[in-house]
Amino acid sequence: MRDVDRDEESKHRSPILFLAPAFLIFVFFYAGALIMLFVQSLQTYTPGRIVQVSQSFSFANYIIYWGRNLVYYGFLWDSLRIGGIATVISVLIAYPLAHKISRTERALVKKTLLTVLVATFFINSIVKVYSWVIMQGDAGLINEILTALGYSKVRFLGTDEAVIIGLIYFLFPIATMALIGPIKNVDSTLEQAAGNLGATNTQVFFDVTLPLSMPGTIAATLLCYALAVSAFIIPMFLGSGIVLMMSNIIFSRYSESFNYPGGAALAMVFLATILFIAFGINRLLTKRLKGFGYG
Amino acid sequence: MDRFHLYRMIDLLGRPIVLVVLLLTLFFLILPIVITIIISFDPRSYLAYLPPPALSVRWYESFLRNPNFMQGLRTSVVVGGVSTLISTVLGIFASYGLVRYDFRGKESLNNFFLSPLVVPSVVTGFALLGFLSTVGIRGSLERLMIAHVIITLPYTIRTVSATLTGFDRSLEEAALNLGATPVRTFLDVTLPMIKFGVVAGAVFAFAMSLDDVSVSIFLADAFSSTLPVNLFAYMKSTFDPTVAAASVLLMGFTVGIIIVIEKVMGLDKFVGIGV
Repeated sequence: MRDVDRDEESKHRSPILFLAPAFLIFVFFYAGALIMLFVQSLQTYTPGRIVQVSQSFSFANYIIYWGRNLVYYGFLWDSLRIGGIATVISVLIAYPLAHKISRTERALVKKTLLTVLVATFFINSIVKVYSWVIMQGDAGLINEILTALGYSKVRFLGTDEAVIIGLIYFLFPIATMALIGPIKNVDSTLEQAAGNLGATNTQVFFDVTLPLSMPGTIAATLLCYALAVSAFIIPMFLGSGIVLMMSNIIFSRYSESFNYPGGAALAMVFLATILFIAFGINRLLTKRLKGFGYG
Repeated sequence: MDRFHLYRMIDLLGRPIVLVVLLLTLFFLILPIVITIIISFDPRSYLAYLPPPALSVRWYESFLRNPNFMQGLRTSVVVGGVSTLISTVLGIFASYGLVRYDFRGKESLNNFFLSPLVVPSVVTGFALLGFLSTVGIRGSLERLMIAHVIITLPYTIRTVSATLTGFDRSLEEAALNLGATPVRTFLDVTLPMIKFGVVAGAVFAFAMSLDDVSVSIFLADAFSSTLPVNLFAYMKSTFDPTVAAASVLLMGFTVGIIIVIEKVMGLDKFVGIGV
C-alpha cells in the first residue's frame, strides 16, 4: 500500500504530463513552422508555388534581399525607428497613468481610469486603425479644426507621424497594463519612509519608485517595442502605402508576388532582429542594472 | 536656490503638470472612439466634416446585410470559442507544470511558450501558411484554430501562472495528505484558487483571437474568413462608414468584456493579473 502511494506521488512529481500537451503542439506547429520557414528561405523561387521543393539549398535569397542592395535595410531601419519613437512616447505617457492607478486612494478616480484603460486595451485593432484614419483623413477632424482656425489642410495619412500616432494609440494601453504590476510591487512603505525622512515627492519618485520599478519598466518597454516594430495594419492604413514597415513588405511577398522563399528570407532576418531585441537586450540590461544595484 | 527648494518647486509644478498630462491622455484615448460613433450615424457615404447633417442607421443595415461580414462574424465566434477553450485548458496544465515543478530548462521552456508575443505575427502567419500547406492541413477553419491557439496560449499561461504563483502550496499538500487523489485536489483545491487567472486568460484569449488580422490573413480563405480580415479587405477597397457601424458593434463586445470582468473579479484584480 505504501509503495503504491509512493508510486502515485512520484508520478505526480513529474511535470511531463502537465507540460506535454502544450509542448507537443508548440513544437510541431510553431517550432515546425519556423524551421520550415528557414528551410524555405534557402530554396529557389519558382513562380506559382507556395512550397518549394528543390533539393539544393543556397543563401541566394539572403544575397538578393540583404546582400545586393540596401533597400530592405531601409525598411528594417524605418520599422526600428518608427517603432522606437512610438514606444518611447507610449511608455513616457503610460507611466503617469499607471502610477496614478497604482497609488490613488480615491475609489471613483481609480475605477474611472481602470475602465478607460481596460476599454481601450480591448477595443479591436481594426476599430483603432479605422478611428485614426477618420481622424487624420483629408476630411477628418484634425483638418476640420485646422481649416476652422484658418490654416490650410495638411495631408497626414502616409506620413511617419500618422503611423507613430496610430502606434501610440495601440501601445499605450498595453504599456500601462504592463507598468501597473512593477509600480504596485514597489513597497509603498519605502516611499512613505523616504517622505517621512524629508524627501520631496519628486525625490521619492526619482530615487525610490522609478529605480525599483526599473526591471519591470524595461520588460514592458521591450514588449511594446517588439509589438511596435512588427506592426502591420497600422502602417498599412495610416502609412497608406508610403510609409512601409517590415511586416507590410513581408506581406507583399505573399499578396503581390507570391514569392514564398523571398518572403521567408526577409522574415528570418526580421525575426532574428526582434528576438535579439526582446531577449538579448533584456538580458543585457537587467544584468547591467543589477550591477548598479537596481532590481 | 538650494537643492531642497528646487525639489519643492518641482513638486509644486509637478502636480498640475501630471494632472494635465493625465487629462490629455484620457482625451487622446476617448476622442477617436467618440468620432467613430458619430460617423457611424452619418448618412453621407463619404467622409466629410462634422457634424453630420442628419442621423441614419443605414451603415448598420449595410453591415448586417453584408453576407461576407456575417460569415466572418460566425467564423470569428467559432474560431475564437474553440481556440479559447483549447488554449485555456493547455494553459492551465502548462502553468501548473511550470510553476509547481523545478526542472532544468524551465526558464527556456517558459520563454518558448511566451515567444509568440514577440515573434512578429506576420512572420508567424507566413510560417504557418508554408508549414500547414506542406503537412496537408488545408481547411481554413482548422488552420485558423491552430494559429489562434498558438497566439493566445501566452496569455492563458501568463495569467494562470500569475495566480498560481500567488497562492499557498500547503493547501494542496494538506488535501493530498488527507487522502484526496491528485485529480480531486486539483479540481477542489487548485482550480477554485486560480479561477480568476483562468477567467482572465480566457478573456484575453478570446479578445486576442477576435483582434487578430496579421496571422489570420495568411490562413483564411473566401469561405471561412474572420470578421477582422473581412473588415480589413473592405477597408482596402471602400471607405464608407460601414466599418464605423461595425466598429460600434465591436465596441459593444468590448463593453460586454468589461461587464464580465467587473462582475467576476473586478477590473482592479484583472489588471493586477496583467498582460
